[in-house]
Amino acid sequence: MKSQVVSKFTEIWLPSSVLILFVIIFAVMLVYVFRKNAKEKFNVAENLPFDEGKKYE
Amino acid sequence: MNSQQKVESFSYDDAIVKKFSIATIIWGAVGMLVGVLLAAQLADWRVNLGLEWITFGRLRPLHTNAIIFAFVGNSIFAGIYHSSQRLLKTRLFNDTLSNIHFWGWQLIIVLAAITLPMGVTTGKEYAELEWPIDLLITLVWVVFAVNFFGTLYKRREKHIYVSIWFYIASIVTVALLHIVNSISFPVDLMKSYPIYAGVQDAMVQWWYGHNAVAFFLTTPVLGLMYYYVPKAINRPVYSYRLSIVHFWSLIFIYIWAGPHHLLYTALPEWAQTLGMVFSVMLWAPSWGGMINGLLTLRGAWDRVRKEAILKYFVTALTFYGMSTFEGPLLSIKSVNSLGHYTDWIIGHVHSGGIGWNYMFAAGMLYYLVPRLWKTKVFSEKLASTQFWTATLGLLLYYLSMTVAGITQGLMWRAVDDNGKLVYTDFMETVDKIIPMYWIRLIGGSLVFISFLIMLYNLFTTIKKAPKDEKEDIYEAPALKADKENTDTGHRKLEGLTAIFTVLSAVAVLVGTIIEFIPSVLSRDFIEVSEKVKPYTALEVAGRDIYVREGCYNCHSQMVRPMASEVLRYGKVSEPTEFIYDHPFQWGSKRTGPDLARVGGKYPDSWHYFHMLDPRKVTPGSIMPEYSWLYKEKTDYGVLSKKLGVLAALGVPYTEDEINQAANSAREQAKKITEGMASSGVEAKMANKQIIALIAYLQRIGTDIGGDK
Repeated sequence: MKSQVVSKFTEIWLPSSVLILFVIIFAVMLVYVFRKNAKEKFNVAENLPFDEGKKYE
Repeated sequence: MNSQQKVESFSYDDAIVKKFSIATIIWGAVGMLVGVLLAAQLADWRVNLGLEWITFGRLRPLHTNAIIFAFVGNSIFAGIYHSSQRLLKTRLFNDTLSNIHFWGWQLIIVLAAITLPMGVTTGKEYAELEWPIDLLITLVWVVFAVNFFGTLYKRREKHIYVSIWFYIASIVTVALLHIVNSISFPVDLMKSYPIYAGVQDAMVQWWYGHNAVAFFLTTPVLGLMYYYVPKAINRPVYSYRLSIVHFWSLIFIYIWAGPHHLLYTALPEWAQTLGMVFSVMLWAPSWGGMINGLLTLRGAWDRVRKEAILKYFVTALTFYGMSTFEGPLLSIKSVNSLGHYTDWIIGHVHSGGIGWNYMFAAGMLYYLVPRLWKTKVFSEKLASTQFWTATLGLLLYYLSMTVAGITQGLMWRAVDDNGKLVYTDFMETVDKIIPMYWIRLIGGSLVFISFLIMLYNLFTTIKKAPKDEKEDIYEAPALKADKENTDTGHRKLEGLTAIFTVLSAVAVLVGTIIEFIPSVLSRDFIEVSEKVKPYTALEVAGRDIYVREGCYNCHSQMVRPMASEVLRYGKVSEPTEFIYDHPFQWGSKRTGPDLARVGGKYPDSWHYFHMLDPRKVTPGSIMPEYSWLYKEKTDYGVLSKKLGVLAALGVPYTEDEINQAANSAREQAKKITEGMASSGVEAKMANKQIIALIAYLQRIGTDIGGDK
């Protein structure tokens, strides 16, 4: 039985559900990241490479 | 800034970045020189010079290891240490650990450069180093991880930038990959057998092999891209928000794609399909990252014309896009059936290796070296000359290999109206692509010359730099207490490094666990056939010689379920055939024909004379001569120990077989040699390594293949 399941897996509902789940998670992530007003939250972060600390002269 | 926050003074440890940068340049040149030598050997077999140390099968692992771990490895360490300090506004955690990391890594490279030409190898691609070096790699990687996470702990910047996320995922995943794939049982200091066998070993190896490309050659470099491209152009990344989607989707999906290296093999069908589907899904995050990088240059494209650094970065990103398009394309089963085992894959790998890794490393070094040594680059013109030389070389390399690969693939599968192979002699398919091998040699040489130009340019820059420069002192406020952090969502997560690391680990573990199901349960789905017997003691000795000489670099042992393969090689390979194969030797390239059904195909004497002078039996062959196998003796004394180790790993040897290993091997060798007496083979040859190798070659694929 286990051998059949592992070698010849035919239950199509499982990969289909997982695929739908992936797509939903991905869509939620996209909506969350690109929602209105989110850009300002990341302004400081995207400029981090340009702030190395103040050079002591 | 809160006026009550204490301002702290600190300096960056750039000495370690300098060391890793110099090591990158030196090892890059060495790795590419070996690559040129290999290309020459394939164009003309005489370049093997009849020397065992530099024969193709032994040198090819040295080239791949030198490029991946020595060249790219040192470059990512340089970049990670340089950028992390600045992004986190702190000096590296511990200078001593940094130096242990540096010297430990160089020691590993030197040990690899000594042992691989000696034939000390595990026979697993990109993981060829034997167990003592594997242990050293683990140790040095732990030192690196402690140093990196220690730096994160003492940072002065609450939010960790996207580059740091990629570094975290890379460090965690590479540790996981290396440890799981390297578990083996030692025979002695120079020899071990992996605990996995056959299909299980193949699954684990290509989970590792694919993700070595993903988490050593790609994700850390993407992290560097997110830092150095904005720095070079002096403007923030095009979309920080896109980088969030890029990071999480890339690290989650990448780890699933390993089985695309094993399509049409003895792996369960569903695992192959899973690998293919996730590979195709990789298109989205990979191109998201490429677009994010390229669009960072929006409005500043005119500078690409003038600045060499930007030329390198733009080309690197373009080739990243090309190779991450081609990779998933080659993972689609129908395309894979044509491209796998051919030079098309070699072209694909080099479009990533040269186009993405070399180009990016060159851009980064041209950014780093003048800043670290506080000077200007010696010659912008030379940097530009290097760029065009490398680009021309890369194009010649890539195009010649793609043409060669597609030609091979089409010729191998060509069947006439009567259902017979059009090109029955494998040599016909080799002859056709030799001109492409010469073009590849020219392309590879140009890439190597371009690297020498960089070596000269950067070392002259360093030589002319002012001496005894003191470390710069920086000031930044101390890290705010956690309770003052009012961010939410992903911004909050970017300040919580421990949770971030755990979530990254979870993202890679999901795919890992699913991929491991067939490996863990391999004994359940592989029906053990009584026809499949363990190798005899002499065959074990011969198999170890096969592994030592790196035969898997040019010969596969896997007949795929395709009409043309069955016509050419024989019965389709079955999972049960490999249950005693520690390690599996399926290979990934057919410069020569598949050997899965070679056992019994030719008489013993054919192999004897073929290994001595391949062109005597196969006119036009490009295989090297293996004259040393006729001089060096088989080590019978170690065979009991070897069989004992294999028995401990599950191969059903009896006590008697283990104890009598040397005697039975001598007996079998004598029989084989006597059988070749009529061909002029002297009895004194019985104890030579060639006889053991013949014993193994004549055994391959006969347990099941004999049914044909």
